[in-house]
Amino acid sequence: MLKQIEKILLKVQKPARYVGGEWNIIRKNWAETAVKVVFAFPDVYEIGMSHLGLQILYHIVNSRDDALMERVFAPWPDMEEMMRKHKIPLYSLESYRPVRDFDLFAFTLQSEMTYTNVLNMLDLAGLPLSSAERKDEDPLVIAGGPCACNPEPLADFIDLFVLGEGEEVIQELLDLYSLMSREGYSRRQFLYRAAKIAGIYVPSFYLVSYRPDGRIEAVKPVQDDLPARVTRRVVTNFDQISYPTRFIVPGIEIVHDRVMLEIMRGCAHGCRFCQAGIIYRPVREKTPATLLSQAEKLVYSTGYDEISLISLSSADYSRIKEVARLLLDRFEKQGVNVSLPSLRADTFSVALAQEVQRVRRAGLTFAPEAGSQRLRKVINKGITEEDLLGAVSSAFKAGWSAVKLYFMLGLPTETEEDVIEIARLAYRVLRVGIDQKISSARLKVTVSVSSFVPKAHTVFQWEPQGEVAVLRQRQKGLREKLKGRNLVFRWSEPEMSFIEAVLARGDRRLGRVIEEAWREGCRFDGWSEYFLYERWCNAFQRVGLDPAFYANRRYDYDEVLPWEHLNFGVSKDFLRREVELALKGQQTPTCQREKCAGCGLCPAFGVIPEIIASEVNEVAVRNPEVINGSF
Amino acid sequence: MEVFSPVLPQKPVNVFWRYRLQFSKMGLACYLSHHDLIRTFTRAIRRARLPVALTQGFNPHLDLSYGPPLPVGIAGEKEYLDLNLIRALSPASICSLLNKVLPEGLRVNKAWLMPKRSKDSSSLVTLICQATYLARIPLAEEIEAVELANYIRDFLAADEIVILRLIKPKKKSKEKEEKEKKQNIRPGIFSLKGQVKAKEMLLEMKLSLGSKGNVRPEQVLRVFLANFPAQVDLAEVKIIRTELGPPELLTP
Repeated sequence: MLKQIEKILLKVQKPARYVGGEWNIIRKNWAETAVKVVFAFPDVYEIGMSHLGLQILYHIVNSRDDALMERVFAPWPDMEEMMRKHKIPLYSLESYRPVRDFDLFAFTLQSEMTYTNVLNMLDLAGLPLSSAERKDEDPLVIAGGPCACNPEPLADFIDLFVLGEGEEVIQELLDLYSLMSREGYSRRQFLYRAAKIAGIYVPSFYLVSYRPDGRIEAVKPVQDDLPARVTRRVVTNFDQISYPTRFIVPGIEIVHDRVMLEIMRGCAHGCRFCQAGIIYRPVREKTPATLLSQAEKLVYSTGYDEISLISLSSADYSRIKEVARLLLDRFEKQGVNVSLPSLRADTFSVALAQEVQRVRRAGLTFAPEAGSQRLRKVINKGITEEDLLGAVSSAFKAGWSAVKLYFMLGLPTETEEDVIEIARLAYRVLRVGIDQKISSARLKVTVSVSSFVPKAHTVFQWEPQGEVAVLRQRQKGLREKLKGRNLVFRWSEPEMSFIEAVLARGDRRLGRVIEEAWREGCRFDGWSEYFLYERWCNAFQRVGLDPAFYANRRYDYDEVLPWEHLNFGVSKDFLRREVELALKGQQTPTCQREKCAGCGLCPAFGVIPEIIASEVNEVAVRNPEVINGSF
Repeated sequence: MEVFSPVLPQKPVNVFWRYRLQFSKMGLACYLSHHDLIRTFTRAIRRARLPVALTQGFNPHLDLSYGPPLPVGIAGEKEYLDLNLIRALSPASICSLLNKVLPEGLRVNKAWLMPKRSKDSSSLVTLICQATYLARIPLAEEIEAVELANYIRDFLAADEIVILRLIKPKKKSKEKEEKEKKQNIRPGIFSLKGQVKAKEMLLEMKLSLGSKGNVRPEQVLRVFLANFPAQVDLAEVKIIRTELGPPELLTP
């Protein structure tokens, strides 16, 4: 197989994407390993290899004696063309075996805009797209990741979905597979048993009926002994959860080319548009001792020169200063830097970044999300203009000269005045830079806008997305206001956000649209150079579905949502209460430091936030032995 | 075995132990670009915990220097890399420490402790001015050895072998269009030998490399194969850089 592959490699860009052989990969004996899993990332190699979930699952599965995991990524269109021309099936990067020789073909769904790539990869693997058409000898096609929280548009193509965190449920799934493959089983028998594992959703065992107006009537399991609602998985005792000691280190540059040290999972801020803020609840932190020991192993097993402290909001980690300082003390002399991927817009975060990032490479990025204080209250983004200007001011003082601001257009209740406020805020930020005497040659304020996409399980899940024409017009208005020296305006295509919204809130009927779009040549829809809006529109037309029904309609509180049967823990009552508060412009405090907002998750799942004690005193920080005797 | 940690010198240190490493970049590693190679070695050196010197400055990094880059897709049998250590290690242990942590296809074959830096201890890039390449060329049909020998003789008989190169405009230049530039590559072809084995042809070329005239193997092949009696797909040709030279100048 490799020989065949090598014949086409010099005809494609970045051939190293397709050959494997990276440091720390694991190649197991094929014949002696019972269960073979291939992890499939439906986007290009450099993005897929930057995904922490891949490194975690690769470690977990390959730690088992009875299982192996290999990798495959979506071939870039030039490679796809060559593979099809030379009849090379989709193959894994470890053993160069066809993907269809594996037992489990496991996708991660990080974005709705990768769905056509999922279909393309099934097709390149030589498998029928439709779950119903695949035979016992074909691999089981499974999928997890954030988009699995409303997986309905892919229900026809995927045999089972894993809801929530994978660390434990993957073990249960592999145990079952291992057991049943020894005993001999049919595909259906396996799926039936798997459907009884908490967190496993087999869409073909759930029937959806529709009302005459197109909305859902009901979603019901085909048998009474299957759960009416499938519950997502949450891991507890997060500090001790299995974490890789070795990461695969690619030879080519990837997006996150560094040690990813996950310091915390979940986020305490209840931003009302944010899906990650809901589906990774509750907040769980690791202890500094665990983090130091993981960093020590990872730095020397990978050779990376940077440790990134990963989480949804790293400045909120209870002992962030201490951990950052301990890591710097340990590794700085070895030329290893520490970095923070996400910053809150406040002076604490900037001071932290200043202390940690000795090298002021890139500019600092903040996400106020909305221009006006009113709208920031609506979305429960708890920062004020004062916070932001204070943060920016500290950033300029600390030597940064470029600042990037993220905003969303089309948020619920947004008016033109809110959009004008974005421009005003940008000018105020610029003013701070000028007042601080940042040289005009270096001073740069970038305003980056995307469009609001209502997502399943969020407070705004019922809200309509603004129409493409309106979003375009607001974007245009903003662009005209932001023409000026030292200002840069970036935007994303509203048409892309529109398709994303359709898929994010869609039901199973959309499977035919995705298939049609794929047949028309749609691939890599998240890449503007490959996004083909007209072909998507044609696909909707041919199937006879109206995309606006999914994206631009206000879903009714009482209607059965396409994801109603998937329980992510936060109660519907809470979400409804939150919408009411949003419309009144009232904020809800974070769940970490103030009183519980009553989202219902902890009692529903029998878990609690795992918050470690706050910063210890300075003496202990300066003398690491006090904290960790083994240091 | 003793293992060291790379340590940032507290003040500028003038005394280093300078080593030259000869490595091979074969198999899958040939798909790594020169930048990829640099990153890969930097990380491997950290994994091996070699007591390597860091550069002075705001963003200290490993003090390494490489020979001329290999193009993506071309393998190298004897490539070179210089590194400075702040403590002496035996060349053999440098090789073995690194070989334990290098990814597939990369291997350090030899290492030498180089004489203390003096005026003539030039960098690899200035020393190296020629390279030998071996191209394995699959042929659609067999050809006779005599036929090949005659073809090579005729090819080398030309005083001039002119190729057209597209020159991209410099980023800040006013000119926007690519320009064609003629280059006579004949003086840069020091030797060319060939042999045929069944449906495969092996070509060995010694070419000029570096600032005093650079000739790339695929440039030679393109002209060489243009009128060749048997059909060849250039993308299927495997090229290995077998030697950099003059070799006697590179080792102590």
